[in-house]
Amino acid sequence: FLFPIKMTSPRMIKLTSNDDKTFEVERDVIKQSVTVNTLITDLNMDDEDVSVENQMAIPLPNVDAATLEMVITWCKQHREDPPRNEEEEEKKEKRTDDIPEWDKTFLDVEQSVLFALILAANYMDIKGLLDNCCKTVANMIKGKTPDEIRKHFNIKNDFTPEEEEQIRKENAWCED
Amino acid sequence: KKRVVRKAATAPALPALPDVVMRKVFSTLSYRELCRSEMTCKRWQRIVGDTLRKDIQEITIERLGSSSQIVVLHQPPFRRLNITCPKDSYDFLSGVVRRSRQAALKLTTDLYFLANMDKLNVDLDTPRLRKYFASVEDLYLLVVVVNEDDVRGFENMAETLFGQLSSVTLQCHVHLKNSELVSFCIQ
Repeated sequence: FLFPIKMTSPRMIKLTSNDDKTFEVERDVIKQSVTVNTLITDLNMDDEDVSVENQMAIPLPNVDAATLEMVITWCKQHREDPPRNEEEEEKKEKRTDDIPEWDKTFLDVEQSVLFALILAANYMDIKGLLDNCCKTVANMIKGKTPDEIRKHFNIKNDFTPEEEEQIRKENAWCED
Repeated sequence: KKRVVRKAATAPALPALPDVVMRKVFSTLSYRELCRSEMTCKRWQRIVGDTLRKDIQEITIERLGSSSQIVVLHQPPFRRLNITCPKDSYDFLSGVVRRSRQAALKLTTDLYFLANMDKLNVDLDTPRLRKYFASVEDLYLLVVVVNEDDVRGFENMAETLFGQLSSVTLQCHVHLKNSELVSFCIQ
């Protein structure tokens, strides 16, 4: 039997950043964002036979264009990733030395850019991206003294001298 | 609106990462790294506390007389914290108790540790936290070398130790000499 094969280009989805730039991205790529994927499903956008020109763009009010572009780049790179099993992830021993090389290079950016990406990954619910971003931040914390951590992340020490003295005594063991 | 967003993106932003993200960052750090992190500021201290509350339900505190080293084994998948430390590490143990006492359900330790809880610096003035281990339900208590002082200390502490203990397992090493003291502990 020969079935007619419909040659269609991949379904495209339009996303709009909070500074009004619109991006077109393959449905299959952006499904890694649980937030966007749920919207597409809830709005029945998969069923409609609407050309991309007439399609409604999904607004992402918490993400700017530069960040959204990075998010899309990441999703394209990871489109072939096996689906994640969150229950298994929860049980696994947490480590931070397993960030893929491509992601390491990709995430080697200024702190402000990395944090914007983290907020976007959190809002768009892209677990793989958020995971690797968080591991990158964790690696910045590792091996640093409290003072070095404060400097690195520009954190203000808001303990009273008494509180600081007490917590310093309690944690003296981690200095060696 | 655009301008506000851009400004936020260029300011040093880590303190502004939401708690849920910080908890995720902290969930990949070791107990030692978490202790260092909680020393940076009050917000981080609170979030480290939240992270550990989720990750520790069972605590084992073991004293090694000969060793002078503090060893911490934290196993988040099992929600377990194993501690080995010298007898007099009161400052260190104050920290352990402060971080864990709101969540621990099971505690394994010896009589000496409980008898000397008053040497720790633990804030018992918070409502609902007037006991050292307000949430512990299961106690596994080792009574190995028992002496009069420990038993008296334990007796004095007993009122303030637990809030909702429902089961106790005693492991006693009984000699003729201390049988009276042991039976007192059991009571």
